Order: sequence, then structure tokens, then C-alpha cells
Amino acid sequence: MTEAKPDAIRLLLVDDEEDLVTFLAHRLRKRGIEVAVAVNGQQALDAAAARTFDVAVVDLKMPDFDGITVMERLKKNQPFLEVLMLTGHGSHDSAWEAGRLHAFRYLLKPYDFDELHGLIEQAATQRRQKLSAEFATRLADLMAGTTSARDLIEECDRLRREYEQD
Amino acid sequence: MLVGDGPLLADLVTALASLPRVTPLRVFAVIDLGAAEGAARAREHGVPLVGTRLDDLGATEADLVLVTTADPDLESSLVRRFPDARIVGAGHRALLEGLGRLGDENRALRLDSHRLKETRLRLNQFVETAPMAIYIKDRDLRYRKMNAHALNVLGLREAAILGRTDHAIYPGGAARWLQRVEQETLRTRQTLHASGVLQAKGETMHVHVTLFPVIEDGEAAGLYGLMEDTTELFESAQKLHRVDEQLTETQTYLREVLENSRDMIFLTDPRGLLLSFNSGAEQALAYSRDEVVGTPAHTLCASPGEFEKLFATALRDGHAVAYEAELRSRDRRAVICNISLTLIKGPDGRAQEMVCLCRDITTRVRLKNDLIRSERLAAVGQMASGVAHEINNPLAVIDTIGGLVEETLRDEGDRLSPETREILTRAMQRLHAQVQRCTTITHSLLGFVRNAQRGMSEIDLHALIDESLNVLVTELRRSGTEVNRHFQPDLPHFRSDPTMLQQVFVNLFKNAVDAMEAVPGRASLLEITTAADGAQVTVQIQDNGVGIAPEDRDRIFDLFHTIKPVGRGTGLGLAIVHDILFRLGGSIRVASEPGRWARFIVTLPLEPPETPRPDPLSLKM
Repeated sequence: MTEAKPDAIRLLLVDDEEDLVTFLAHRLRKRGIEVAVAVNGQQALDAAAARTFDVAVVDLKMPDFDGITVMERLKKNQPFLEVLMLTGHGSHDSAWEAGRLHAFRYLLKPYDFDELHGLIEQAATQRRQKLSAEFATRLADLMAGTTSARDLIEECDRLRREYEQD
Repeated sequence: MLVGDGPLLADLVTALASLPRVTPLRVFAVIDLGAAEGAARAREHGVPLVGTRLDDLGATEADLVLVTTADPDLESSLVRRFPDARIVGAGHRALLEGLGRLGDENRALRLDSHRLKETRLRLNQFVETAPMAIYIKDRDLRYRKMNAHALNVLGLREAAILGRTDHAIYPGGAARWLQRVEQETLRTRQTLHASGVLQAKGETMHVHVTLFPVIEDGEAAGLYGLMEDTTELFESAQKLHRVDEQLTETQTYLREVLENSRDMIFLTDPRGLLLSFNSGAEQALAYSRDEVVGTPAHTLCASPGEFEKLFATALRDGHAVAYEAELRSRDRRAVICNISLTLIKGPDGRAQEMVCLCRDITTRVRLKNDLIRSERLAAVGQMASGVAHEINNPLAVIDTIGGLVEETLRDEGDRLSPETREILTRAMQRLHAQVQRCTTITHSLLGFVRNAQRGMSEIDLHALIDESLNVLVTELRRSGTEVNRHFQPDLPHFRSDPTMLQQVFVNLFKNAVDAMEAVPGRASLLEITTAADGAQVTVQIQDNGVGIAPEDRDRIFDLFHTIKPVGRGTGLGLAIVHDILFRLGGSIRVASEPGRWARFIVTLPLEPPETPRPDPLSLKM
């Protein structure tokens, strides 16, 4: 069933609606996305502690943590993670909050599947671009600031290991 | 008076003069009619001699005439001359007999004098003890007596006034006044009344005096004075006068207050016919006083029956209040009032007048209703957003599963029979469509919540109206609606929220199209009129659709009140319009002729409200 390729998008899907998580994950996997699921905030944080994700799709309203808190905590450990907020709710205050904390986008349920898929891809692409830019900057800084070739190689390895996770 | 001649007259004069101890008769004049002897004797006894002839008597009057001659001519002339006098007969013997009779009469007189003395005594006792101020003065107006009551009232001692005149007792003005009326009494010998002011015990005393002359020997010998202290009477009269003045002043003041009050105040008689109508009522109801005075007050009310009931209650209980009653102005405006009726009863306890006080609370009631509406909308907004959320989640699941089945059919459906694959594919498409339909509803429920993002900017109203019409271009074209714009040139721009205003106009235009589509066969005509009116602009939107029944007119702005066919209206549109306008400081009214036309009149302020109206829709959900 899993058609994930080595460069497949790593997605964390967080929603307390198990039916949604199950079937949405299935459909996304069919589109070649590597999907991990969580049905509450804690599961989501646990999953993110073990693995790195490109994109998270997070429901705004959950029993333990609300989506905004989940996003905040995920991003703390994985700053390049892009988050798509899903909401059945029209409250613009939450949406505004999501924007302020750099959610990639928020989508009103019921969403259009193709639109969601497209946004996930866009988010992943954006993440990759940001990450490359960041890597390039860091590397340039490193090269400019280090005179010893050995140090440079060691630092490069360390940096590569840091990002290689991704 | 003795009249006679010769020695006989002389004897008589001597006899009378020697008898004074026996009789008090006194000879006061003698006329000697022939002999000097009588005259000489008269002189001897000190009696004045008038003359020697009868003619010398002149105007002298006489009570008793003694005649010693038997001359009938003389006698008859004496009788003519003194018709009231007693003529005592002729001859010596007759004279003596006459004298004897005279003595008897004198005794009777002495008895009378004794009675008179007793009467005087009693009178004096009465005067002394009478509970009224009495004084007695002699002909020179010196006090002869003043009774105890008078001394007490006037604060005088008898010793200090006896034998004195008023000048010694009262200040100049008071003494002169009293003396003047007393002198008048003596002069006219008549009882007189007078009122004046005296000084007594250092204070001003108003008195009323009654003066009786004492007549002695036909002359005023003095007077009795009866004095009443009228100070209290005078003061209470004064007080009454002052009270009366104050009352008049108060009445004038009250009348002015009533007249100039901005509240409506009118009086009716117990039947409810208007007696008065103040300027506040004239202004509020646009009637002139003359038009309504005399007509029944209940005709001013939107529901006369209710007023009559209230009136009956006030007649019974004396007072009645209606907290929200509706009056109708001359131009058929509804004026919502707090009406208070108070019955005024006459001294006989019967209903006399009804005071009707009506305070115009239209604005307050409208504002209150707007707030209630707004709050209700907020509550519904909260509920709607909650419901929408709860429904959106399962809808998302359904749609996701539907999509999954649809994809699977597409990718792997060749194992199914073509018919099965076909019907399942169509089923999934329909499922998707139905989810879309639900989504439209839930999103529209959430819509007005999301639209609470506000931003004020300069409004070009005509451009905004055109944009709103553009949103509905499909509907307008489909219904073949002709749009007539009656735009006032150079309409001032103003600050407001363009997104919210657009929502208002789109809603109103959409309603107009729906109303006109409900009348098949009539060419749809939408007329939009703008005008600047003082501090506000108005937009009238008139359609020639089904119109609005009178009973719906007040309710169409209520939440969930829709007059559209089932499934066409949510009952949200006009409630949202109303709420938005309320929040922007504007208002909306409606007029309609059912079956022919409906007109919505939107009013917007050129200056946005200083303090923004409560904004319940942006409350956190």
C-alpha cells in the first residue's frame, strides 16, 4: 500500500477524528506521501520526538492540546516543519493566531482533497527551499569564520549530520 | 316759662321761686304782659325777662305755660303759639290746682329718675364686665371710663387715661384718626363704624370701633366706644391674600412647566375628551392644539382599546401606567410612549380631570430592540459556529471516504461489472455534491462570523453599490431585472466599513431579486435612490416584487424569520444586515404595499459613531 519513495514527503497527520486520520492517511499514502498519524496532541509530540517531518497537518481543536499549542511545540524542536491547520471552525481569531505563528495555511473542513494534497506539496517544497537556503548560509558562515581545513571538515560533517536527519 | 300780667304773675314767680326744694321746676323766662310788677319780681329772683309782649317770645320754646288771665283770645293765641306745651288754666285757684297737679307729676318724674339711675348702674356694670373693649368719653373726648377688657387689650392703666384725650395715649396718626371719627359721631349724633390702626403694647393693632353718641338734652354729651381687635382677622386676611398670590404664582409656574415640557401632557375630562394639549404633545404628535381639543384621547393611540382599558383602570384606581404604549402622530408615525394617567378628583370626590403624561421612549425602545437583536444574533452566531464545527468534522470524514471510494473505483474498478462501477461512481459523485451542499450551508453559517474583520475606509457609496450589483450580475441577468439608479450627484464620501456595507447591499439586492422572481410575468424593476440628508446619507432600494405583509414588517429583521419559500431563506440575511447597520451607526426601515412593492431605506451616518456600538459578532467563540 505504501508507495513512499526515498524522497517522499514525510507527513505527520494529527486529528482526533480517527476515521478522518485513517482514510485521509490512506489516500495520501496512495499519492506517495509517507504519513505518520496521531489522534491527539501528545501522540503527535511523541512521534515528532522520534522522527523528523516535512509537513504536519494539524486539527485546530483537539481534546488535550489545541492545534496552536501542538504547532508551537512541534516547531520548537523542528523549526523547519511547515504546518497546515485544519479547522471545522470559522473563528478568525484562531486563524489569525495560526498566521502569526507561521502556519503555512489554514483550511476549513470539509476541505477539497486535491487542494489539501497540493498544499502539502507546496509546504514541503517551501520547507526544502528554506532548509537549503539556511544550510547554504550556515556553510558560508562556517567557511568564512574558520581557517583550519580540519576544523572546517569536522564542522561540515557535524552540520551535515544535523541536517542529514532530514 | 311764665307768661302773664300784673301782680298775679309777680306772686307766681315768687311762689315758684320759693318752692324749688319741692319741685325741680325751674322758671327760666318770664314774659310780663302788662304790669311791670311781674318783670320786677322776675328780676328779683334772677329769672331772665324775655319781654313784656307775647311777640317778644320769638322762637323760644316752652313746655309749660301758666296763664293767670281768663282772656280767651290770649289763651287761644298761646295754644297756637305753643301747641305742645301745657297751658295751665286761668284764675288764682286754678293756678294753685295746676301747681298741685304739677307737683304730682314731678313725683312721678323723680321715680323715673330713680329707675334711670338703676339702669345706669346696670349699664355701668355691664360695661365694666363685658368681654369687649368699651370706653366712654365726654363731649371733649376725654376718657370718662374704660372697661377692664379694653385696658387689658390696649395695655393701659385706667389712672393713666381718665380725663385725657387720645393724644396723650396714641401716636399722632392713630389719635387723629380716632378723634376725627369720634367728633363726627358727636356732630352727627349717629352711630358710626370705623376701622383703623392703633399702637398697643408696642405693636400695631388693627381695630374696628363702633361709636354711639350719648344724647343729653338733645345734645351729644359724649359717646360710648366699642372696640374690637381685628389684628388677627386682618393678618389672616393678609395671609390669605399672600397664599392666594403664591398659589397663583405656583399655578402659573406649573402651567408653564407643563406647557413647555418636552413630554406630552394632556388633560381630559372623565369621558376621555381632550381638554388641553401641551406644546410637547404638539411637537411629538404633529397635531395642533385646536385640532385635537374636544376629541377623544384614545384616537391618538395605535390601539384605542388598550388606552380605554388603561383609562378605565385610572378612573377606578386613581392611577394607571402603561410602560410601552404606541401613539400615532398626525403623519402616522409610531411614537412609543410610557403613559401615566393620574385622576384628579374634585372636592366632592368625583372624577374631575385626567392628567395624561406621555414620555416618548421611541429611541430608547428602538435602541433596546436593536441591542436585543444584536445580542440574539451573537448568541445564534455562537451556536451556529459551534454547530457548523460539529458538522464540518463528520462532513470532512464523509467526503474523504467518498473520495477514497471514488479513487478506488477509478483505479481498480475494472474488476466490477461496468454497471456496478458506473452506479457506484455516480453515487460517489452525488455523495460529494451533497457534501458540497452541506458545506455551503455550514460555511455560510460561519460566514458572518468570519466577516467580522472590520476596516474603516473612505466610502464612495455609488461605486460600492455598483460593485454589490456586480456580485449579483448572474442573478440580475437571469431574472431580467432592470436596474434604475437615481444617484444624487456629488454625494459626500464618508468613513465606514466597505466589506460590511457590501454585505448589506448584496443581501438587500438579492432579496429584491428573490421577491421579484416570486411574481412571474411582471418585468422586474429595481430602483436605487441615494440622497444626502444632513448628517446622513440614505439609500432607498425599491423592488416591484411580492411585497411584505404588515404583520411581517416588524419581524423581517428578526433572526430566522424568513418570508421566503421553505429552503430559500435562512432567516439570517436581514438579521445580519440589520446588525451590521446598527454597528455602523446606521439603520434600516422598510415600507411596502403587499403584492406590489417593497422599499428598504438604509440610513448611514456621515460621521461614524464616536463610540463603536457593541460588536457581539466578534466575541470569541
